[in-house]
Amino acid sequence: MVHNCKEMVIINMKKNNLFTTLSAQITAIAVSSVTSCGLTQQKASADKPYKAIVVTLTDVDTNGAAKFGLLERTFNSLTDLDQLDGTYAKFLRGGQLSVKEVNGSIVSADTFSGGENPNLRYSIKDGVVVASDYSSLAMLSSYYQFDYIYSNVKSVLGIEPADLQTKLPSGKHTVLFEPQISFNLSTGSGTAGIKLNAAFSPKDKQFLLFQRSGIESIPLSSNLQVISHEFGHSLFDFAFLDGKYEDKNYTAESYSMRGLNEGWADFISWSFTNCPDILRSSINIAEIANSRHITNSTFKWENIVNQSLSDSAYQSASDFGKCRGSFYCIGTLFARSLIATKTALPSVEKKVFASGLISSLKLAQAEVKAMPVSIVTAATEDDQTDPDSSLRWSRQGTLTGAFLRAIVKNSPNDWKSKLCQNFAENFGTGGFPEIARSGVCP
Amino acid sequence: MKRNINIATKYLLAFFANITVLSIAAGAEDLDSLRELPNQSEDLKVSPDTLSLIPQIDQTHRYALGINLAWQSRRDYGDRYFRRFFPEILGYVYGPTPVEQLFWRGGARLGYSSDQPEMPQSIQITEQDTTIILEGALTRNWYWVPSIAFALGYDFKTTKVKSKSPIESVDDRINKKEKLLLWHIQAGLGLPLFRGDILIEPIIRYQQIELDDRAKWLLGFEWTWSPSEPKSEIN
Repeated sequence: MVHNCKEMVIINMKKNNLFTTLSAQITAIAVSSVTSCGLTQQKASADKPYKAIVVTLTDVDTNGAAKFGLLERTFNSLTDLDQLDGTYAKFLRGGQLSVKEVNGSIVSADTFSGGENPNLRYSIKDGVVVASDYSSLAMLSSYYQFDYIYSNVKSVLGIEPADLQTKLPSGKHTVLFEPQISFNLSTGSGTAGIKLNAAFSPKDKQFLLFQRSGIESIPLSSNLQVISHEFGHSLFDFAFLDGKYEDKNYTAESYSMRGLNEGWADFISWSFTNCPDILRSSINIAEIANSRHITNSTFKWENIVNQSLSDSAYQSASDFGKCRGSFYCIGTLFARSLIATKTALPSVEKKVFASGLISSLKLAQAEVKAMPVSIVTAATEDDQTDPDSSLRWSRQGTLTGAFLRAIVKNSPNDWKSKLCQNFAENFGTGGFPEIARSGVCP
Repeated sequence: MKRNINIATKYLLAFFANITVLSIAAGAEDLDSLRELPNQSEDLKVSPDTLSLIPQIDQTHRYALGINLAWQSRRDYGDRYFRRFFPEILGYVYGPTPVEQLFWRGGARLGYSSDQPEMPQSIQITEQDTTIILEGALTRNWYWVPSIAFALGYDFKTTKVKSKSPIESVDDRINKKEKLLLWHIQAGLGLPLFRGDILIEPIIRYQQIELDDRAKWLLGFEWTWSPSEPKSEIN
């Protein structure tokens, strides 16, 4: 550490000018300290590739529970440590994000202002970056998760990182760490330091890591399960929406499509982690975590509909047979179907399976829009709201069925049977109507 | 450079120690009251030998002990701040200056905080700080007692990682103990009570701590008690 102090002024003390001497000395020291002795830190340099102690997922036990460690790991794509800036992501700390809408972990952002450089505090021990406070550890850990994802996206999903970069502003994501959120909705306005969430904004391809909470176990911002889930949203944006943001894309913004987007993101999280228990390691609240457990949850489409219509609010879901997660419930059905299909195709490599689904997803939006009205009519603004009647649920089932049809239609032939079987089992005729299956399911 | 910093530190600490001793010595015989309210009908006389003021009032205060209930504003949540409780115990000595009603104040502070911001349950990095500070100030004796101080000291920081399941393994290189140089400038406006036996002083402090630019401001309330002594006769 280097002090940027100028030379202190020394005045000889003389007995009969004691006060003058003392005053001058104090003033000299004070001025010197304020102007130059800022105790600023000149960081010791670490060599690339940077190594740091970060939160990392280490294992998934036989019960499907994720295990973590605080261990030394290497960053492959980080180019500027103090700015947390690299090939695929750049971090900004704080700032204020103005949002129009928050739908689960998809945020419709309006504008972003402020945001500082990360101001990491760390020391270097044996060439390893060691955080000196919680915020620095959280940011380093969070960056590591993005680094891991992009370093492994080809081996896990069969997709080149460079292809993803073509849809990103300046070729990289901006990650907003603990921003303040301001709302300006028709229902009200205000600011909030939102906690207990992470999100992806399709407009600017930004990731939002909200303020840490004492309720969290593993911080959401440092959890590979969560970050890869958010990456799944960016992949949905890349494939289904071709990276194009439209303000009133009613197909993408419909209730069921939001749910399917969440399910896709859960599937991507499972692809990177092999852990079907998506949320519990960060939010260990049974009512929330159980309904997001992809393989242990047992509810089906008709259960979701019945629970929705039997109460004004969703039922408490302390057991795995219920879901209180709104459109997330549809997502869990979708993720469960995809994982069950992969499990039923053991000869198909995981990355081949994921790559094939991404290819189907790229064609899905156009496919849905081209479907005859007997299968589905175009989505409208009305389809965004939570269904509160049998008729509305029937409509959501139509939209869901159209999407599932598009996925099946553009998948390899030897997958179609299993896909149809699992979609039918989870979505039933309500979420995957017979008309949507005809001509595509064997 | 590190050697020069150590020399500068030692010089400054010795300097403040000298001020404290000189203040006590200069005021041993003729140290006049600092904290009681002035009697406006009395004339103030200056002794040429000691450069001290000798107001014609009944009580004197030379030393004070007290506490500072303070909150440090530290950037923790994004670019937003966490108010961290950081109390201090403190001791003051007072000395005269040639300027009427203006006095020297030497001080020593011992501060401590283990207040933590909100953190997740499974992984936390806790910081415990103990500060030792020496201070020199100017203060004016009046109905209100303003003060301006400059200080130098050390922050002894202990950083520890705490973890719970599902964290199963921890690299404990994060744990460390540090001795961080700090300085501060502080302004206060005290309200004397009971003829200066008690002084309540709201303070605002700007500080800089080595290797840590998160916490620059501190607000507090100092409560000090000074034992009063009978005033000596005017010469």
